Amino acid sequence: MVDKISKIFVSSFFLSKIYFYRKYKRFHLGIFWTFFPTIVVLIGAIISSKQLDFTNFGFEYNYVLWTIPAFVIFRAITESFDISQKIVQLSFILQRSLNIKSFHIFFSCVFASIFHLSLDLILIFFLSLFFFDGIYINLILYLYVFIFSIILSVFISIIISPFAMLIYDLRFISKFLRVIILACTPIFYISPKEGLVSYINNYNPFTIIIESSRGVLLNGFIDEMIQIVFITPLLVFLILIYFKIFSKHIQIINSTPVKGVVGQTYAWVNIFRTKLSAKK
Amino acid sequence: MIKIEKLTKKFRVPIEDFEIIKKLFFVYNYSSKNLKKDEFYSLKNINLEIKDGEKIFILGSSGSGKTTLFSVLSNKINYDEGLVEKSNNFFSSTLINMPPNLFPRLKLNNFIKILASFYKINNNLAFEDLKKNLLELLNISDEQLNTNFYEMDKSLFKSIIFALSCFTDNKIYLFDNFNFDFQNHNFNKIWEKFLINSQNKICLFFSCNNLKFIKDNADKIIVMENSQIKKFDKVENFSEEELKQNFKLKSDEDLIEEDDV
Repeated sequence: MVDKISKIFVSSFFLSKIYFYRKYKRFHLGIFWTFFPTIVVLIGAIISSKQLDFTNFGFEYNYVLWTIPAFVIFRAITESFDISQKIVQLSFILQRSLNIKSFHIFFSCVFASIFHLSLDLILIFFLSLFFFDGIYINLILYLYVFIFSIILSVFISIIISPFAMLIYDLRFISKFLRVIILACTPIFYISPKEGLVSYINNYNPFTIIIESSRGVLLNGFIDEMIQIVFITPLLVFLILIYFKIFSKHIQIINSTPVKGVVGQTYAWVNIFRTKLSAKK
Repeated sequence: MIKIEKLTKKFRVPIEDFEIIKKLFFVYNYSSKNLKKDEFYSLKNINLEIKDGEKIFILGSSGSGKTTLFSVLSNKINYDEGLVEKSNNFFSSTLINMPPNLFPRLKLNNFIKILASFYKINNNLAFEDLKKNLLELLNISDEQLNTNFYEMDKSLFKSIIFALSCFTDNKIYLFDNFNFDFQNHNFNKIWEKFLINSQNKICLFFSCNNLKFIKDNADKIIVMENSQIKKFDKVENFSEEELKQNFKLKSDEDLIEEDDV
């Protein structure tokens, strides 16, 4: 069993490494650019907290502590979505040479996302050290929400990615998702008690995740967290079921000549070879 | 045992996006009898029964459906109609090298570890032992382990995969593009080890082009033409001329002549 898990780890980690190599091979500051948006938000939050009196606006905590934990979770959701799309596309190139299974793809997406956001996590750790005395135990709860967000996002992404192999427009979903989440969830603002924004916030599923991530870091185990804990086994169950469907989707895409360089599937070559010579 | 009944697989080029979406939603009707526009058969009404312990070479011209059959048996692609009964405990490889620009700085040591992680190696063999055995079979020194994989000979990828298969315990072995330097001492060492490991197991070798090797090692030969099985018989029932003329197989004399040229 241990051997099997370590093998899955090695092969999934290999896929993640290929993703990073492909993405940052021509960069000198690759790791810096993964962290760049968080740095910008951090600097903005520090400057805003120094210049504005946020207590008048109803903020109970320092504005940095209000925005950064939520922003990191926002990034966990959106970046994982992007990373997964790319890894699924890459895996279709490698299908020719290696027997890549659905769980390899899933775990490599999770590993790549965690690695991509590792500096964000380190920042949260230092924020906790700075604002609270000693290592804050609520960090573990925050980490739980963080991993949950990544797994949820990877799950949604691998559902969409076989379709995105054919319909390129779907590849822009992540950009759309970014704007929607940023506008409709209380990352930089406090959710109002009534009105249209309050209505949108309440019906936005990401609000629970983002509010609870902030809540657990500031107040420990909160009510919203109970919902996440209850959803987790359901999510794991759905993922396990979806592995079967995803395997079927991989087979369908493998036997489809998809457009573009990234979509050169294993079957692509065979199909054209077949068509050129077989006059049927 | 592998049992295939009325296996059919169609392809369509160029694709229809809406058709693929229907397939992804599992609402596509695969069983239409007439070919649609731009559609063609890659496998048509394939019936086969392969018994345990048989070593079978699948031959045929380019586009005859060999690789599609390999892909269906390896669960790499789905099929439209028919029945495929087989064990899912199989070892399969296309023996096609990975694109070199994907990970150019990968060391040979790590590469072997990664390749091994995709296959089910014998339970009682630790990775270090597996590596030692592989290096011995492939005639690679310990110093070469730190060499970049892509600086090594291109054929090393398939040699590693084939050598790995000697340390697995699967019921079925499937290899596509099974072409090696069959005279090579290293290959023969791996082949001998493979024969010991694959006793009483089904072995299917697709697209091999060495006539002497096939005649020496095959129990049966499947000849494919136009997406169908043209002949499936014991190796002794195929004449050398029949194989050479129809499938452009290369005998040793041909290969020597080519080398001379």
